[in-house]
Amino acid sequence: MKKRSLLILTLLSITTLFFAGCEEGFDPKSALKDQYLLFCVIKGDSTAQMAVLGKTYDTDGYIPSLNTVSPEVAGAKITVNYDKVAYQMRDTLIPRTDTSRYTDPQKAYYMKVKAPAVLQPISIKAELPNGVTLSASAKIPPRLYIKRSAYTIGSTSDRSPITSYSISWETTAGYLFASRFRIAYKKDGVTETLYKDIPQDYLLINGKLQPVYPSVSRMQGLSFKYPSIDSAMASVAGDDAFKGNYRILSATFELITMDENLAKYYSSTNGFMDEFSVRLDENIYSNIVGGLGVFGAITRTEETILFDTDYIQSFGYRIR
Amino acid sequence: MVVLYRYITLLFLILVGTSTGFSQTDNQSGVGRLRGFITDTTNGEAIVSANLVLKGTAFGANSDVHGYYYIPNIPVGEYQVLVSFVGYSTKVLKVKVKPNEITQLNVQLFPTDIILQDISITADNSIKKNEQSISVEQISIKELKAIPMGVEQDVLRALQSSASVSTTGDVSGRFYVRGGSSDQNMLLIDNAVLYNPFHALGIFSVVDPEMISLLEFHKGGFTGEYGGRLSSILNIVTKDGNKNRFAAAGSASMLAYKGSVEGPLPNGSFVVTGRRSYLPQALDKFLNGKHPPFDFWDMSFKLNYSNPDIYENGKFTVHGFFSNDNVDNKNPLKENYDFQNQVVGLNWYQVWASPLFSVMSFNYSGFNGQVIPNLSGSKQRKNFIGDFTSSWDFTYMYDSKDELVAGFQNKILKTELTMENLYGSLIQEAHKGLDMNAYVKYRLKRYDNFGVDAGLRLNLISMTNVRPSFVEPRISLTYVPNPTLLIKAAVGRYSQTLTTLTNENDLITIFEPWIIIPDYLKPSESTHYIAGIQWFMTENFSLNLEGYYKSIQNLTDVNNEKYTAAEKDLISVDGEAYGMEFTADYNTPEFFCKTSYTLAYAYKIRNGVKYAPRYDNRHTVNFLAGVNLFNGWQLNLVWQLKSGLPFTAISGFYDRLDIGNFWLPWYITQPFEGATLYGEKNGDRLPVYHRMDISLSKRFRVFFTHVTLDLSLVNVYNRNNIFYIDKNKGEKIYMLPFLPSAAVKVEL
Repeated sequence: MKKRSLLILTLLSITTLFFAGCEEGFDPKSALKDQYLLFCVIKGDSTAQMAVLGKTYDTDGYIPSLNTVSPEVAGAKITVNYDKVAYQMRDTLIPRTDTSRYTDPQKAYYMKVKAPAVLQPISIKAELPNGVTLSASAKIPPRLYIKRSAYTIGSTSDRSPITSYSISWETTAGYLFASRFRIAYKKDGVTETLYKDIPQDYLLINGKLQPVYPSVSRMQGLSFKYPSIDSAMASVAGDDAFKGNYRILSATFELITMDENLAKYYSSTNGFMDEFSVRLDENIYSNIVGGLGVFGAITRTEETILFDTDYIQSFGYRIR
Repeated sequence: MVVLYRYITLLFLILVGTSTGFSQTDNQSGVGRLRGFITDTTNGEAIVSANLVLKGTAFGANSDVHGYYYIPNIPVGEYQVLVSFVGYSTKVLKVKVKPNEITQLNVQLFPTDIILQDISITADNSIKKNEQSISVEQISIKELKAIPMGVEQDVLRALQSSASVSTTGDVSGRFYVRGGSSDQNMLLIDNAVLYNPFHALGIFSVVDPEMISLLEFHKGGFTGEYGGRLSSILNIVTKDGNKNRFAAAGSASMLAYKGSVEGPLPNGSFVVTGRRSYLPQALDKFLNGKHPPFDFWDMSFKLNYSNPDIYENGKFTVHGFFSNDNVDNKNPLKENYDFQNQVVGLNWYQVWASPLFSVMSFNYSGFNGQVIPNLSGSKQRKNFIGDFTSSWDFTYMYDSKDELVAGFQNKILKTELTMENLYGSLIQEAHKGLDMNAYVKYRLKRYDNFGVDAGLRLNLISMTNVRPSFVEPRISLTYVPNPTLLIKAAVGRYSQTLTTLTNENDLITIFEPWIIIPDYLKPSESTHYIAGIQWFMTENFSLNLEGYYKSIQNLTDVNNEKYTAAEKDLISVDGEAYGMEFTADYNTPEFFCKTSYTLAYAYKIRNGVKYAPRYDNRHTVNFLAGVNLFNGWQLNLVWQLKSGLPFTAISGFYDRLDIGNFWLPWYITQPFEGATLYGEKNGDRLPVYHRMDISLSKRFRVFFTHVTLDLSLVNVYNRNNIFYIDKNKGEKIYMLPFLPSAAVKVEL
């Protein structure tokens, strides 16, 4: 009898708790924190520079993509200082390439002035009509000396026993690097120069060979497997039977060096530990005083590498 | 080092000698002593906390974790000895106590057939006078098995129903004790430290319950024999193996199959257990629908040797534990995982001719773990730990019942860590260290209503250069004002020179590498203040109330702003925790019930800002009950109700520059992506958590075998307990949903 009572009590408790199983109202949001944001990446090899000033916003849900009112702020006075000169940026509107969230043009600031020199200190100041001021400083990173494992890229007989073409550079600063390695070529009837990206390697993924291209990293060197270069070279013409319509110019290696501010910002927005770890409350790096965002600089280093003529001709392409 | 050991041994002998002078209350010819071991007659395993009394007298004792008991100062004569323990038939024996002699009386108890008695807590309900048991829970394997399993029986998940333990969610087996972080808990297997106690990336424990004889959970205020951690010690004593007959068992759950073999050896016994995963899909609900190809195994062994012709009253055990976890995605775009534990050890237990008991241990504990990123973009991580520890502990029992306990421990440790943090910065730490500790304590047990356990733990040589040595005074007191009431208190200093490099913001982390605290930080220190009262209202019903305050200094925390290799990996933070725990226990052969309420506060102070860490559970109610139904069916139920855990609320959104594409012309701005802006750290609370688990089991005989069926329902009423908000999808991620599982065990 006692046991039966206990069993009935347990079943009654569970039945009651079934109604408590649903989740009660819960909103993970607190009051909106009003803040301004400034984003500006100074390009060390360009006379034109851009900046975007933004503001925090709220949405009905928990994901920012639900917002459809553009958060950019116009009407501020933005000045960039370098070489003891204060350059003022002008308001502009830029058509958006992606109009899925905002349909109006993007409000931005730009200037076209003398390009800053490498290793030059730079600073920015944004003054809003409501008195809010945002500021930051940075330094243009240097151009880096590129070393390569061979002067030219040659045919199979010249390579043995080395299996990769290596490119490297050296620096002690905390820079981050993005790069691409491309074959530059011309096609008869097309005026502009065309490019074909060279992967580092091809890997068998899900039963299919797939190219692996260089990723953003702190590594100061890359290697490209010769079969990958061969494959990229073969794909210049692809299925086109008229290989002689293609003229191979050279290979170009481009290296973007991000200064320490941008390196930290990039790392904090793109890093993930692994597939399973869940990190909450992640800090996105900011070096903007008085708000959020990033002010940094990049420098582009370009290296041209020639192909051996025999190698080009082995694919049926022209050298001139 | 050998010289130092000799000095410590000499010091102990001097202490024994001098204290004998004032402690021995009787050397007169009219008294004698009684000692021995209490074991299970079916398998020869030690019975812990068994009660032995001399009928018609006030003389009695309880067996310790080795089944050993000792009663001094007994007037010469013949006595009837009553030996009892819950779940066993009481035994009555005759013994003759001779003058100035130690009489050896080993007792074997026969287990009763009432199943529910088996799941009762090992401690009986009479007050053990002068026992300093503050903040210690002894959990038998049978009690452990009474807790409904979630896919697989789990030691660490079972702890989560303890009043002192909190968690950050029911997905992980990690636990937090009285406001301490998870790396402040030490897990010992037969005196050897186990550094990575988890299978399947933290979901459940590597320790197979089949290998366990007893769990001793020290939740705070632990005395001098334990050190090296700030919060808790989980001491796992493994089975010795059946000394009387060969036995084998095999079982299968929805995740793994396992087996064990045990039996007698000449002058000893052995036990071997093993477990292997076969259906990793059973864990999908723990991982929000992800399907990692988990592949794990673990195995343990223990050999015992006890030959009275060589060493009378001596026992040698050799034990080993090995585990391996592997996730091979067979896809270069996904990372792989590989984790291994290796533990081997030798223990020598000796009861000497004088009332001296000693345990000498040599243990090696190793851990290798790595995350192999392949081309996934995830971070490379590799950690190695090699820990060789030797220790020697002595307990000298005076005729006054007082005890002098002393020992020393020597640890040679090597840690290596290579990992990339979230921001791509490389962390490389390699340390070797020698840690030498000695402790001495005096247990005043001569008074029936008052006891003291006071001593010192001396860190003679530290693993860090910042603090070459450290003194940790510890004291605990018991006062028994009447036969049903026990008042307890403890104060102690604790230190820790090892830490895990774990980011507190990681709600789920698969890699917790251990390192010796680098020399740019001071080792962590803590002081515990604990007081409690225990009231045995009836034979079957008791109440326990404990309050604690814990101050923590130099706690290590990951530097969340380490963006470059040059910046420090760790920073130092302070903290404090306080609270009270109320427990009510009801125990009869047919029904048991354990209810607890905990009010707890935990804080960290980082850069002058005080905040509650994610494991700060303010209010917790635990309810655990079991009943024998009919025809041998047994029903167990666990219900937990907790106030919401802290979380950082969303205080807005913004569009941030996505600088992934560097090859755009100047007049096209980089794309912008929505981002979340967080408010005050852990400034808000998630909704209330509650969950009920039920298990139904039956053990029956089929021909010459015993078969146990176990059906388990986790989250019976499918409560949607919020785990976190996925900031990318804006979705609420819930903890474990309704999860049925079953297991079958066959014993030969």
